[in-house]
Amino acid sequence: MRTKVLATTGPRLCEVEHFIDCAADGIYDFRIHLGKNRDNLQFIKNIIEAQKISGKKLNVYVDIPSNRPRIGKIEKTLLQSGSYICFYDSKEKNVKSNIEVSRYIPVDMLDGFIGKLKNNTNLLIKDGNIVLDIIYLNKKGKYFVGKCVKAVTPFESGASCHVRGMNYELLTDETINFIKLLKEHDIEIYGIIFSFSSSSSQILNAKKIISDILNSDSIKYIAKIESREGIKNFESICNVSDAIMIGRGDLAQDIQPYYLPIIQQELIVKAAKMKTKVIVATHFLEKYAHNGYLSAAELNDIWCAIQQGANMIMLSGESGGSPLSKQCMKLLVYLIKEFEKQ
Amino acid sequence: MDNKRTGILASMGPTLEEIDDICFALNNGVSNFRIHLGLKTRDYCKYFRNAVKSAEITKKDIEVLLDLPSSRPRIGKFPGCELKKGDIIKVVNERESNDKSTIPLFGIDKIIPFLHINDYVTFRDGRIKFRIIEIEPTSIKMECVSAILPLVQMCSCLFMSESVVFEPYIQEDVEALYKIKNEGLVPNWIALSFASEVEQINKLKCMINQIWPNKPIKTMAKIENRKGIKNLDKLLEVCEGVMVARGDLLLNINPITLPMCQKQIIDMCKNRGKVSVVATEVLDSLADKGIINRAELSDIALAVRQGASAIMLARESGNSQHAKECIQLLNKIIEIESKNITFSQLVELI
Repeated sequence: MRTKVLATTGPRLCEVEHFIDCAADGIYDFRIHLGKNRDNLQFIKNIIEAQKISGKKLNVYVDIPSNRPRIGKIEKTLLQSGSYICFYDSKEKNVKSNIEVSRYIPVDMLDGFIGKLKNNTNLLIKDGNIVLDIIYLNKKGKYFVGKCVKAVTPFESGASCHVRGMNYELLTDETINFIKLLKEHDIEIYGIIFSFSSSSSQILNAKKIISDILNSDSIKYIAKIESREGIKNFESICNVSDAIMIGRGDLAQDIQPYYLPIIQQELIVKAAKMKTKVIVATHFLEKYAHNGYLSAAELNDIWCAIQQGANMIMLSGESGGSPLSKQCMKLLVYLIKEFEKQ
Repeated sequence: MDNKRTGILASMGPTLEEIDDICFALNNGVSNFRIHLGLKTRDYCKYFRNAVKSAEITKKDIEVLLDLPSSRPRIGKFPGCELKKGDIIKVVNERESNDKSTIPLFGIDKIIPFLHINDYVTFRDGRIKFRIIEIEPTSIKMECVSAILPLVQMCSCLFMSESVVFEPYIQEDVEALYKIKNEGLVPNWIALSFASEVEQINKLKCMINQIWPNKPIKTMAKIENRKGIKNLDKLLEVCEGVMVARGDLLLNINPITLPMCQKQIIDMCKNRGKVSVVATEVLDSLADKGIINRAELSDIALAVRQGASAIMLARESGNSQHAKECIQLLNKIIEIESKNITFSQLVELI
């Protein structure tokens, strides 16, 4: 198998047995998504345990989420189109909006973000499935009000917020603490994925901080390209990264979705020329994970990525959260093997 | 559908029947319209008239494709039912049934001679699957194997048996075509579902020639089973176009061969100067849920790069509250994929 599978961990892919099964099926690479509030340290320990038992080398990729704001603790709900929502800094108490709103939603890491917001821009959540028009900003009061213009998926804790064109810091205190924790537990990981990589200098800085903490220079650094800025600086980013990841979910909300296929094609070709490996992520078996039926679109998408020369295909919720997690992983391995034969 | 650029074939329906909506489609890259004659309750003559009027208003050339569903039986009038694994139902050769466990499937009597015990029968693109457990001269009994959607009237069924060959049309289709002719309308294309034998196309051509003598009406073979793929070479000698009807095709072939099949069918059409259409599940997620699925974007781009003459929208254009978004998004992808853009130009564009 020339094209590998990177499987995201989650409630359906976290136990030692799960990882042992994966190793038997030909999946050796696992992604830990630090943006999600999970027992990530235990997940990594379980992968290491599975490695000992299976005798196969298993690789841990830690995906660090940037300082992009995330929705704080709320109950999962579907927003109503046309409703007014107040987003406030989750560190603040008793926020009272000057404009009448139907809901208050706490947001983590709002500090840096709110300063750069402008009225009449779109706040994008969950890969563009939820869109709000920002109609009122109160930077002093640390909140803003958005009018919901589209909401086709439910709103939930941990969902990240984005405004087109906005760039973020790669590292946060939380991330650094987690890396320190890895060091304390003497845990070795294979790679670090930098979400929202937008420039080479940013990556160089972050690499230096992380390698200093871990005192290691064998870690692979993967730049996740999910913004226009990342595409613009693609060559210089490739020069300082061991691999790049095309994060199709966020990318197709920062740029118009109809540019995604040609961008994927161009980036894979460009990376190959620069001898940089490519991981392609998002929606490979999303529909299958929901209904258990193979679709022409998903078959062609996987086939196309392999033809283009992607080195790795990533599963997100398909492996981490879907009740069909195991089937999705087995299916992808099977499809890759068959497609590579053709 | 003979242009160099991949076109859009948009199915008409409740969300694409009024002149305003059709004009919107015409202004957003749609130049071919499909009218599905399987749903006789729809006013297909009105669809056709409005398409012609809209073309006059926008001063654009259009092609209209009439899609014949073949003699494949459809469920008649029936209360509908939710099924689960193990449920047993009876299929009868009737047009109507009031009983939830008796499915009216008029025309089944002609198919019964080809069926065997343990053959699979599916409905709704495979979302409901049965196994035949008993065969009588005019009825069959089936056991439900899986069902994630309810069984409702008008669903067409698929017999996973290689030996079943459908008639290219039924009497109702001929009546429908005469009705269209009597309004003075002439289609550019007539498509035949489950095309697998040259004789089917010849028979269809004869019928078309009787209704519209000496009109240049083209025929399109919808490839949706293995026999159709096997006989593609011969089919291409008698028809002007081919549709890769991926919904049923996916159920009839080994799914891993679908990408290769699609590519080869398009290649064969290109080499022989024939029209190729890629159909089914093009923007389902956007049509049904308003979600832009990244795999669907890749899939569309791939069909454009492969050189398909047109990409078809089914309910995405004809029966979706996101119909306009579907048309615009498809048009944009085709536009971008058809241009020769360098990376540096692309960076400026995005």
